[in-house]
Amino acid sequence: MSQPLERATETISSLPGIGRKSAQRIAFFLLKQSPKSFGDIMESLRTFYEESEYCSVCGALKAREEPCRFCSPGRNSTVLCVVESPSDIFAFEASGEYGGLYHVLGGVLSPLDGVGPTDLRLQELKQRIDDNAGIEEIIVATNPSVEGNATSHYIKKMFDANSLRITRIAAGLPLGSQIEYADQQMLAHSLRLRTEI
Amino acid sequence: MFAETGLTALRALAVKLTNFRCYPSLEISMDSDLVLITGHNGAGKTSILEAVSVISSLKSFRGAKDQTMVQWSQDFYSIQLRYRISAGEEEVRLAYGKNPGTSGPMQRKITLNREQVIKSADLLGRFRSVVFSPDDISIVDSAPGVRRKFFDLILSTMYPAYFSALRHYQKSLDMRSSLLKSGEKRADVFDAIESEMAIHGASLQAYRLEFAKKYSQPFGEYIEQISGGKDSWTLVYRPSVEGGEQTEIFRAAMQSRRGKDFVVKQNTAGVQRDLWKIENPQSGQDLSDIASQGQKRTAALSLKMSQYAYYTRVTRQIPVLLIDDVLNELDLSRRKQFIQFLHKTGQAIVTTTDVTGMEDFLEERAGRTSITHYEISGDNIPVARRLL
Repeated sequence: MSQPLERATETISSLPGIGRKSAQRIAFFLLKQSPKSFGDIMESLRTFYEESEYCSVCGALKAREEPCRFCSPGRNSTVLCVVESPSDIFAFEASGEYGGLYHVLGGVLSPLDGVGPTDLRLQELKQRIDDNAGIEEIIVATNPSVEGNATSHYIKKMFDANSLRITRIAAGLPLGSQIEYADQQMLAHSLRLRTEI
Repeated sequence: MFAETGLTALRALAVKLTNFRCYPSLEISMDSDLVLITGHNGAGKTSILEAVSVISSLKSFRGAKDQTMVQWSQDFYSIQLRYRISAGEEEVRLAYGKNPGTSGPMQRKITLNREQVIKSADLLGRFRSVVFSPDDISIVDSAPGVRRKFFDLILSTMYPAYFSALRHYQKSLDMRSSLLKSGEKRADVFDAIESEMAIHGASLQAYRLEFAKKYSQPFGEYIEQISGGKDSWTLVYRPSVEGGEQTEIFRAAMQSRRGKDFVVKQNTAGVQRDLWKIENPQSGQDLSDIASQGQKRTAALSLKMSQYAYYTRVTRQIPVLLIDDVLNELDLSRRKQFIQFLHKTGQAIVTTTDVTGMEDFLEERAGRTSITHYEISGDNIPVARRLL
């Protein structure tokens, strides 16, 4: 392998989810591009890198110089959805189901990985609630893992004194799935968390 | 024990092994009430039972790793078991290893009815069996962890929710333990993690309580029966957190333990410390402290017989019994009682070095039940010869 190729492969494979083989394929793909389209790819990455930042209020990804669209006055400001990472916001937005505010924690409580409350944006959350009397409900949308659940208990406890509604997203059977082929644990879980119709 | 009707019996029909233990290839039919596998020590009798039990519990009752069960110098093993349930026939093929000549990782693949690939968790509970082995004595005579593991396995194959609660509980327990080791004392963090622990811990405890009620009754009865009324032991479940089947009580107990746990830097309460005790009903003394070897053997046998009774009662289906060299270990009167028990069960697959001493058993069973008899022999590669 030539040295430039080696270096390019090395660099690309340091990206998440990309192994050496894919990295090499991407390197060859880039080499095949015209100087113009290669320049476009590089330019778009550079622009993304230079012009993006995280919103100081909610933690969502936003363009520098522009107001955060998830904090804009057009959104329902009575409800706030707490998520683990900025990319979770895009998943919720794609569902088209939610028009409220967000708050990115930047992780979940995980003593095994040395992550405690001060490593998360919990103080910012508290501040936001204290400053904003209009918020009536917090939806805790961390992943349904042991860590995600522990974090939801933490948030619940944090706002015990406030007269807020604290809710947790539901977990169970995926819509459109077949019960016959459902995972037994998932099925047991969805039975326990059944809802009134 | 089962006067009720409406029960169906599970039956193993045939098993086919490839590269499993000492067998490059073996196929035997088992469609009868009693399947007798004889042969000298080390001939490979137990391996057949082991293979059948892997289909039930996904692991070896001899405690062997998957890799150990692959025949030497081979790349994989496979077990194919055809059996009959109330709904009809099913065939499960469980393979472990990699394709010959490739360098992939060793992995398990389970196929149902030759086409549908299923997850390990979905295999549990399809083909239920109860293993009787001379090692069972360690379940009644060892540290509490061994019994906990034994009952956890039964509950996990019976209730998927138990299995998932166990995993989540363990994870939250690890979280709390790493907090204790790090010297972290923030109450808010402990609150959060203990709340999660309590949800799973309380659920596990509720399952165990209910289970203990259903399990301890046949256990006591079988002890009486096997010992001819001479022995009397009770199986008692002692939770570490009294009343902890209620989430709030469990949580409060964790909270009140913090001071002590900070000092010793470990979790000192919770379902990981629950006890399953086998004690004398009058004195409360522990079986492992006061029982003779014979009494321990009776208790071990009764524990497994109760597993059979429990499965039958809860699933309404009679499990298959896999009996490994147990009969010869029993004295005459116990053997007689155990054989009485076997007459009332469904299919039994029995290994023994020889049928000497079992004539009474065979005679009693003949006529009423069908018998298949294989003899395993051969120097390097064992061969199964059908005698009956």
